[in-house]
Amino acid sequence: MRSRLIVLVTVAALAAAVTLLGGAFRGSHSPAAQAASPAGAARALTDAGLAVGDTAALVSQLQDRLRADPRDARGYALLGLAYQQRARETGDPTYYPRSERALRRALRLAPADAVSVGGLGSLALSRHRFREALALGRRALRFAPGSARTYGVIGDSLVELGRYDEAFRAFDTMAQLRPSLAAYARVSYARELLGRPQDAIAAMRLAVEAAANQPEATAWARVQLGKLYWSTGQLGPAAREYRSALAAFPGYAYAFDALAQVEAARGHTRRAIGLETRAVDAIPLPQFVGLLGDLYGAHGQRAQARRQYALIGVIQRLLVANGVRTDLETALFDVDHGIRLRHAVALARAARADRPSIDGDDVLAWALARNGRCGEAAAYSRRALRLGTQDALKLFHRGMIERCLGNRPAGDAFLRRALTLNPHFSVLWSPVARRALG
Amino acid sequence: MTAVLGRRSIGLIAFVLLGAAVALLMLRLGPGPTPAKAASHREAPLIANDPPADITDFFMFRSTQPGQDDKVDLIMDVIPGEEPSAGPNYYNFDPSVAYTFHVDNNTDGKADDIEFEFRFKSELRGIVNDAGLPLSYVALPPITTLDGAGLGLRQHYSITMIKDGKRTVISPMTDKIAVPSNVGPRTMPNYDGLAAQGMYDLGSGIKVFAGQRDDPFFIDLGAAFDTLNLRSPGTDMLSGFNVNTIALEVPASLLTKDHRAPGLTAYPKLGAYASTSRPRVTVRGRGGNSLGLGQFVQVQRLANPLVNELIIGTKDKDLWNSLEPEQEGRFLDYYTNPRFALALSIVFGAVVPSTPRQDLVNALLKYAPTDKRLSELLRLNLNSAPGASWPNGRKPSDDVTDTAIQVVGGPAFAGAGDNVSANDKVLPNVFPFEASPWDGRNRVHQNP
Amino acid sequence: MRRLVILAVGVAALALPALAAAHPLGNFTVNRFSRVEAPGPRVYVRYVLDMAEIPTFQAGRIDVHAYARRIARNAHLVVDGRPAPLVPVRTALAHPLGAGGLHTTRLEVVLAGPRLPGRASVAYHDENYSDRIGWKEIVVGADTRSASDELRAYPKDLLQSPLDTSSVTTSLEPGDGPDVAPALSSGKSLEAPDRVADAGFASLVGRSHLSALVILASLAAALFWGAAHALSPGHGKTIVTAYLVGQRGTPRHAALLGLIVTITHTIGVFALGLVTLALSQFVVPDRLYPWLNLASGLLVVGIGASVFWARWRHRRAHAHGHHHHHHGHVPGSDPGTGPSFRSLLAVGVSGGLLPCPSALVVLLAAISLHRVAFGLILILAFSAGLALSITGIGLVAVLARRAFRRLSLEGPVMRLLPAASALVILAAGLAMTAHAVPKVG
Repeated sequence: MRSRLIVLVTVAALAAAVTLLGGAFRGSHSPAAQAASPAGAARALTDAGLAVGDTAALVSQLQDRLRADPRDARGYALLGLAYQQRARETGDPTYYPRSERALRRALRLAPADAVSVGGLGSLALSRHRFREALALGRRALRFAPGSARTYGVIGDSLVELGRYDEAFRAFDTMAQLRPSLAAYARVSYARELLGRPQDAIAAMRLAVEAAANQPEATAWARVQLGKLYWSTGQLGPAAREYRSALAAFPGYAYAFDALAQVEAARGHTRRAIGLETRAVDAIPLPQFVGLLGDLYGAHGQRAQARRQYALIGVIQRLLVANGVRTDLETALFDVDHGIRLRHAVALARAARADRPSIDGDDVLAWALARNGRCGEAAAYSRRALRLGTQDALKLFHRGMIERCLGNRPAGDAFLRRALTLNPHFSVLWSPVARRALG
Repeated sequence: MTAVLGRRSIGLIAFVLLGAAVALLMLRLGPGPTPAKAASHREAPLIANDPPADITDFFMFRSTQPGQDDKVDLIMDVIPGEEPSAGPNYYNFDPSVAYTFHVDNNTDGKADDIEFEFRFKSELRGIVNDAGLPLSYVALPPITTLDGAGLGLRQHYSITMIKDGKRTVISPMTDKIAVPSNVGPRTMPNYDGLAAQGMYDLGSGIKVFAGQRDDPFFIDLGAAFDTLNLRSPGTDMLSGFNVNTIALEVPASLLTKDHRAPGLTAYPKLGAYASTSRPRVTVRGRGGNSLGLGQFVQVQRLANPLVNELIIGTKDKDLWNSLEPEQEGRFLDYYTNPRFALALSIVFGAVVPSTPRQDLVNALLKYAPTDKRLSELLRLNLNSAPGASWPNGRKPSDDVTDTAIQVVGGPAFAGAGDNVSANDKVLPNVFPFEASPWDGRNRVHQNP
Repeated sequence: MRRLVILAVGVAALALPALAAAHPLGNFTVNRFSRVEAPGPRVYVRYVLDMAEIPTFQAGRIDVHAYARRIARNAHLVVDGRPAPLVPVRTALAHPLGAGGLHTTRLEVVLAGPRLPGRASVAYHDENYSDRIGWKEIVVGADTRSASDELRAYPKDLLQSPLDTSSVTTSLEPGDGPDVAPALSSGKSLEAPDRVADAGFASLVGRSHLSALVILASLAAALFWGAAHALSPGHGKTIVTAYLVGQRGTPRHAALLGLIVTITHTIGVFALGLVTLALSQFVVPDRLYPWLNLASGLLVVGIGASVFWARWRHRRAHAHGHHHHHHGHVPGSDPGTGPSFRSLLAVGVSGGLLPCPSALVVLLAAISLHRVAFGLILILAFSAGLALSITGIGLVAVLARRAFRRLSLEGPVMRLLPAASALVILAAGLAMTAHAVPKVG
């Protein structure tokens, strides 16, 4: 009896071991299928009857193809990327798990594929897992050293991890290998971080042109261009870009949010509320909801403001329930609205640990400052401004910190710089800055 | 009587295995759908497509138009898969892209002897711009001329010839307009008349056209890529789609090394390719003005059809696109050992010529078998009569799919093909040799 | 038999790729379903609205009739070219639990349309929440299958995009039935079983601030959850009880059993974590899982078979003349000394063998929240609570047995109990194996 049991268990263990070793290291499938499966992916697929910029059609074409041939690694990789693009276009987050499954299946079929690994990298970026994204990007690079897209993933991760020199080198390489919308947008961001908004605008204009015929990409690029104008106080050009974005991609939530800020700056608070509500309805990001609450507050509708702030609490709970460490945005929200300020410092610290960029430095500095720990805050605020970024909000934080430390002239200088750069940089804090200057 | 689990170790195996089972179950679960927080950091797109810089076809041939056999036509099609009804923005050339033809006239494999560079500039105008309408084209009134008020977005273009390093503008930006997309019969009641206005005769035998055309490529794409599940009759799966075309017709004597016409020239062999390039930008650098003459980086190149799709391996495609044709030597293995031939032999069980495939190398990379230099160029022998087919030059009406199958497959595939031998629209025999595009309202896609 | 059913359900629950948190389609979706049917002379539309956590929160208190009227207004029905009004006639509302302790909303409304003159062309267009992301589905006909089971179980097929149907054109014939509105869901089917709400236990690891007090409170809560969980079906309570009673176990044995269960359960979940992390680079889960499922099914079969076999041989040995032995001893026991350590081990292991889903959820959440240590001690506390319950039950059994020592509980029923439980284990193992075999290969 015992021997039978032993045999049984051994068999089971062996079976498991065999599949472990056999299945896991399974290489790609037959060379014929590989060779005959569409090589020129971009052209073949777009040629295969799809309008440029029509991701939904591309997705359904790929789905059909994969139902017919479930061993098509390339198909799964492209489907994974297409799902990510659909997530951007529709705002529907359920495309992300789909994307992950498609990419993992692609990797199962063809393990050393840069596109699949890079795709997982960009997915990790979307989930704010920046270290994981960097590791995946580096792995993808080993498989295909000349891939511009992979440098984009690597550069994006490095930026959020605060490793700017390396990030800028990656962006330069990306633009050198293959100038494109993706490369121009990143070079523009780098220039913006370095405090050169005019050069950033020039690069983003190239990105807008390169986005031609692709609605979501065009809308995204135009909103970013608009924000560059906004950040330098040019409301008119900013609004024009946001409207063009909406023309290219109607219902684009980020355009509504950005336009709401412009309207608020112009004093049209009711209009701003309407626009921001549309953004929140489409995608309830914490920064949208927070701004809507602030707009209600500015408009004197306290109850409505409180409802929006309560919604942020709900979003925070959902984030945690989904295994997401606290976001920088939600930490900042707590700090800005004086919600459990001491706890907010811990939140900010945790958020910064995941994202040690200048944004992380700035949020932690502000959290410390709001707790009266201005000495510590000053160090982080200096770090936040170390690249020379022309960011009114960061300058404002620095100004308030300096004033808190008793350096009134220095503090006022920063506040003035902030207001000169962008007089309406924040619904909550621009009035505070103005009052402080008297 | 002994107990069930005699050994602790077996028990451990038991729940490690079971634990593993459930672990892997949980691996499948993964994290839940992340609540929308994507793009709360600056999430720039990472799309690989770059349609305005995506070259679908390149043609080079002696003009088959009666009386024009001393001319050579260079045609480049870009923006694949244009769905005719894709309003409101339709399709335009990219003002920051340099669209260039490169010609090699001394058989050294380097196509830098003569180059023609096209640059475009967009103009927002008229009622569309003033009224802030989100449309590019409106029938206010119907557009019958390239000056029409309803043409809210219009593009001019310039042609610069680069010879021996010298740049000469042979046609300035101001006087030529790209023909817009075919919106439909109400907006553009006589599209052919409108398009004719965009066919310019620049004198000295030079003609040029830039604008939308019907995509001249024909292939039963679905069948071909369904592991060569070919059928008869095949369906042209590119039917009903348009492209943007740049067509240039020049006297052959402008291209030949000794400036003599076909039949008279001592250098009848030409090689050429088309490329798209974008401005180079760096983080520390300045500006990025798209019309500036800053450094450009090649984004795509195309000489012989189907090389990138069928011959070059996936992991090298981006690299291949960024290199010059004369650097093709590093991809030699893809030619001598074509995967596509292997696929043909496996799928159809027929014998393909044995490797190394020197015949493919000679056809695609050399002027003559004795050539030492390998360069991936589309080659045209001016001594051949007009009407020759690929791989001696390439005309829009050539059935390159069938030829590719036959050439790569070898003798066992003589006469094979995808059973689609003509374009959905009749290809005209006059410049620009491509048919009028489908209009947005009435376009027809063929189904099997 | 009960154990078989329970085990089968337990295995099935594990096998279904249920998302352990969040509305399956995302926390801010508003999902709509319409069923256009004509069971009798009249057209009816069964409308289901499924709002995820965030829209539910934003909606606040839901006035069912106001919602029903709004839905009716924005759902457009055109019969034979003529617009026909839709009137709500029945409503049902439930708030299934979602993630983070928040609620979702399931609203069902039956809308009555016009009487059909005969076969008519019907066009239906749903404009409700048109600007909100979510599943949009319309089916025609009372028996037509819904891809999402009327928003109860969203398909997780990789090769399927979320449905986006807002309008449909069809032709309908009046049915043969009476003019009665279709029934609404009620009870369980109104609760959307697709969603596995995170138990209170699973939400412990996600507490935002971990002060010493919070940690202690969390451990206490975990203990409580573990104890409560043990009272739910499974975990070998029957076996433990029967075993201790049949074996003349002492309170010490009961305690030992509890300890074994704790350790087994904790090790099981820990092993989970190690395996997950270490093998995630190499293992191809899709391929491996069916094999491992099969292996574990076979293992359980093995255990059940060997217990049964031992019992059978023991009976036969008995039958050959060891009549002077006391009846009722079970395999692995020496008369007079109670259960041997090995058999205790066996029973304890079988009790803790199947890790609880919530513990697994906690483990995963702990890993992703970088709170592995905290997660592990929570699981330890949970396992301890589990064990405490089982020990308690075992103690009750032991004490009851002593109290009723005089009564002859060692009749044929008790003699057969171990064999019966062995059969149950065997059957459960066979069920698991049968479930796994089709998935392999």
